[in-house]
Amino acid sequence: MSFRTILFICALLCTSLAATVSCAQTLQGKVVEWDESMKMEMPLAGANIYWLGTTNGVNSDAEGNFSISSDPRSKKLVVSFVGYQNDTIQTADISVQKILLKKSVDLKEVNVEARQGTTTISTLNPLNTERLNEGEILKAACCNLSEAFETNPTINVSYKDAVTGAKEIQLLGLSGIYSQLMTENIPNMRGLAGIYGLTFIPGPWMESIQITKGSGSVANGFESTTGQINIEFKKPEEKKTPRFYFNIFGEENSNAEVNTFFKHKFNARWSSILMAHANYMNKTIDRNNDGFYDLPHSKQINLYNRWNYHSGKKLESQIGIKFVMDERQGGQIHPAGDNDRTKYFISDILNQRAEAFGKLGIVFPEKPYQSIGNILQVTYHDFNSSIGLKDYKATEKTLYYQSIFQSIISNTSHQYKIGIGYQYDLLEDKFNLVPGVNEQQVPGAFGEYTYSYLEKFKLVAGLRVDYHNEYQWIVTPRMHGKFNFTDDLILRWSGGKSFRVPYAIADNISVLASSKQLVFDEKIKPEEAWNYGINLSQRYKIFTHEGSVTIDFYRTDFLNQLIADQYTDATIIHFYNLRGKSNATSFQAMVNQELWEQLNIRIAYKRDDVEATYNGIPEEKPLAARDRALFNIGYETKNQHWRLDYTLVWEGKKRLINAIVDEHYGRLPDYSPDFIFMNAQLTKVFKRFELYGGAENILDFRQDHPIINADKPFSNEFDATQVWGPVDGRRIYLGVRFSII
Amino acid sequence: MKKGIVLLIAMIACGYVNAQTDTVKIKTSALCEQCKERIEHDLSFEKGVKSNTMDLDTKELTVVYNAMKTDPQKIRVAITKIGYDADTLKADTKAYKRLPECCRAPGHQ
Repeated sequence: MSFRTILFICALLCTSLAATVSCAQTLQGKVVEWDESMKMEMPLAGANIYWLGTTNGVNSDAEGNFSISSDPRSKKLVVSFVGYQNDTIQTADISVQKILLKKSVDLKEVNVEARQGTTTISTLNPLNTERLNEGEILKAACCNLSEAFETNPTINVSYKDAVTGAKEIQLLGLSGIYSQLMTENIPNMRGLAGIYGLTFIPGPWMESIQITKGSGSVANGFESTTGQINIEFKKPEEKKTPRFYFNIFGEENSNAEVNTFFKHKFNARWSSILMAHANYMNKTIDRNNDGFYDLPHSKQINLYNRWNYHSGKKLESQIGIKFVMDERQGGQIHPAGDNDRTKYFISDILNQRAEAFGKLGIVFPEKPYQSIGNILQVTYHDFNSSIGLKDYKATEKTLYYQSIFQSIISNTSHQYKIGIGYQYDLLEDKFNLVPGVNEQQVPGAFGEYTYSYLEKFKLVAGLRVDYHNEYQWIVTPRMHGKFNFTDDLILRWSGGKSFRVPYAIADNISVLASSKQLVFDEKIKPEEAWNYGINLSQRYKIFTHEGSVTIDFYRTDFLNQLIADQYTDATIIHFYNLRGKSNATSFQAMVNQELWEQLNIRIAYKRDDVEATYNGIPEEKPLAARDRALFNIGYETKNQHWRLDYTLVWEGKKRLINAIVDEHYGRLPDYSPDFIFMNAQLTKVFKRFELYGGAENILDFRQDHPIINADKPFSNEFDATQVWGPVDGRRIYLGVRFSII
Repeated sequence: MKKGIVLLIAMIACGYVNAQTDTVKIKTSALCEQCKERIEHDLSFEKGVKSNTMDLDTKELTVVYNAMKTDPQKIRVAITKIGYDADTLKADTKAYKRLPECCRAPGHQ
C-alpha cells in the first residue's frame, strides 16, 4: 500500500540552488493530515522527522511546523508518527514545504509475523515487562493463573501449606502480596481476595499476561513493591477472539474442569463476551498416608460478562461483572457424614466474590497523543474459613476510582500523565470470637512525566501523593527508564517507593494450619519499601535464528514490614513491626533461543537472597529457595498440527522452621533438600478442535510427610506449614478445546 | 563427511516418504490476516496437502502437495469449502455464510 505525498519546496537559509551542495542548510516544513470529518488539512504535532539512517531528528510543533538542519550523511528525510504511515522524502531537490501523512489502515489488525515468540519483551517499553501471550499460557496444564507461570522463570508458585490449598507466588524473592495483581489494568485480587486470587482466573479466559518487574508506574497506586502482574482477558471487540469456545479437562486425581465462552458483536459499536468456568475435585488422595487429604476437595464456579462500546470516534468504554464461588475442604480424612471439628482437623474454606467494573476512555481524534481514561470498580468478597479449631470469617468491600489525563508538552518528546484516584476499603472480620473493623479511605493524585529522545532514550518520573484516613500522607516517588544502546541492546532501570497496609491474617492465612498461637506484640504499622533494579537485554541472531539474553538485578529494602516471626518461639507466631533490616536481592539470567525453525529453548537461573530481622537476629526468610533454575523446550511442527513442550525446574534448598519435633520422624533439618520437577505436554491440532495431554511432576517427586505431627493435630506441636516441595505427586491430564472463530 | 550425512538422510527421507511434491498457486478471495490463518489452518488438513502459505498482498495461496494423493482441482474445491473463491471457482455458499463478517468477500449470496 504505497502512498502519495505532496512536496513543496520552502525557503532555505542557504542561497545555493542545487541541493546536492553540502553547505549547512536548514530544511523547514509542515506536517499535516487530512481530516475526513472536517474536510480539511489539520496540523500533526509531535511527528518525528529525522534523516534516514541517523539519529539526527526533530519533532513537529503544535502547528505541525519543524525545522531541521541538513545532515551530510543522508539525503532522505523520514517523517513518522505512531499510527500513521511513514513517509520518506528524497531531498535531492529541496524545497520541502508540506508533508501529508495518512493514517495506517486498520491499525487494530496488527499483522503478526509467522514466528513471533510466545513470550516477548518490547523494545519500546521503558518498563521491564515480559508479555506472556496465549501460546505461552497454553503450555501449562493451566487450569488457572496459578499454573500459568510454570514455564516462566520470573515467577514461582507454591502451596502455602499442606491443608488449605492456598497458593502463593514469589517475585524477586518476595511473596505475592508485594506484587500488584491487576485485571485489565485495574488493581484486583488484593486483601482477602489475594489468598486464593490466583485460582480465580481460569486459563482459557486469559489473552495475555504482562509481568513488570520492579516498582512500576505511579498510575496504578502505591502498593506494588516488587512488580505488577496484569492479566488481559479475551476481548470481545477483537476479531481473533473466537465466537464460541469450549474446553473440558480432566486429571487422574479426578479434578475435572469445564470452560466456555461466547462472544457476540451486536453492531459496529457494541460487542460482548460471556465466560464461564467450573471445576470439581472430590477424590480422596493420601499417598503419604498421614491421614490428611493431599489436596483439598474443591469446587468452583466462575462467571464473567463484559460489554465493550466503541464509538469509532471519541469514546471507548467497557463494563463488566464477575462472580466467583469457590469452596475447598481439606484436612484430616473423615467419613462423609461426620464433620465433628473436635474429632478431626478439618479445613473448610468458602470464598464468594462479586466484582463490577467500568472503564471510559475519551480520545481526541485530532490529537492522538491525548486521552482521558476513567476506571471505576467495586468488589464484595466474603471469606469464611474454619481451619482446625480456628475460625476466620471476613467480608471486604472495596471501591476503586481513577481518572487519568495524558497529553504532550509541545511535542511527543515530552509526555505527561496526571490523575486523581480514590480507594475505599472496608474489612470486617472475626478471628475466632474477636471482631475487627478496618476502614480505609485513600484519595490521591499523581503526576508522571516521560521524556523520550526518539526511541533511544526514555525516562519516566512520577510522583504520587495520597492521604490515608489513618496514616495521613503517603508519598511514593517512582522513576524508570530505558536506554537503547542499539535496537537490540537495551538497558532498563527502575526505582521507587511503595506503601502497603498489611492484612495480618489474610496475608498469612497458612498460620492457621498449625496449632501455633497468634500473638500480636504491637499495633501493626503500614509496610514501606524501596525497590530498585536494572535489566539488560540483548537480542541477536545466529544465522537466521533469533535469540535473546536478559540479565536482571533487583533489590528491595523494607523501611517497615509486618513480621510473622516463627523463629523465636516454637509454639507462638509473633506479629510485630520490623526492627532492623529486611531486604531481598534478586539476580536472574535468562536465554531464549530458537534452535531451528519451530524449536525454541529457554534456560534461566535465578538467585534470591531474602532475609529479615527476627527478634534482633537476621535470618533467611523461611521457605524461599535461594537458587532456582529452569529449562524449557518447545516444539511445533511446520504445519502446526503438533505442539510439544517440556519443562525442567531445579529448586534449591530452603530454610525451614524446625523448632518442633515430629514424634515419628524427628526434627526437620535446617534446610530442605533441593529437588527437580518436570512437566511435559503434547497437543494435537485437528481441523476444528485440539486435543492435549501431559503430565505435571513427571518424576512424581513428593515431600514425604509435609505435616509435622499429623497424628496429633490438636496437640500444640502440630504444624502443616513447612511445605517446601510438591505435596501432590504426578498429575496426568487430558483435555480438549474447541473453538469457532 | 557432511555430504555423506546429507546424502544418507536424503536417501532415508526418499525411501520413507513416497512423495512427489508439486506446487500450485491459487488466487483466493481472502481479505485479511484472519482469512489467511483460516485458510492455511483448514487447508493443512486436506489429504495430500504438505504445506500452504498465503501472500496477503496478492491473495495468492501457494500449496505444496503430494501429486499422488491430490491435485490442483481438488485443492481448489477444498478452498471453496472453506468459504473462499479459488481462481475461477466460487466459494461454497454454506461455508461462506459460516465465515465471520470481516472475512466475507463481496459478490456472494
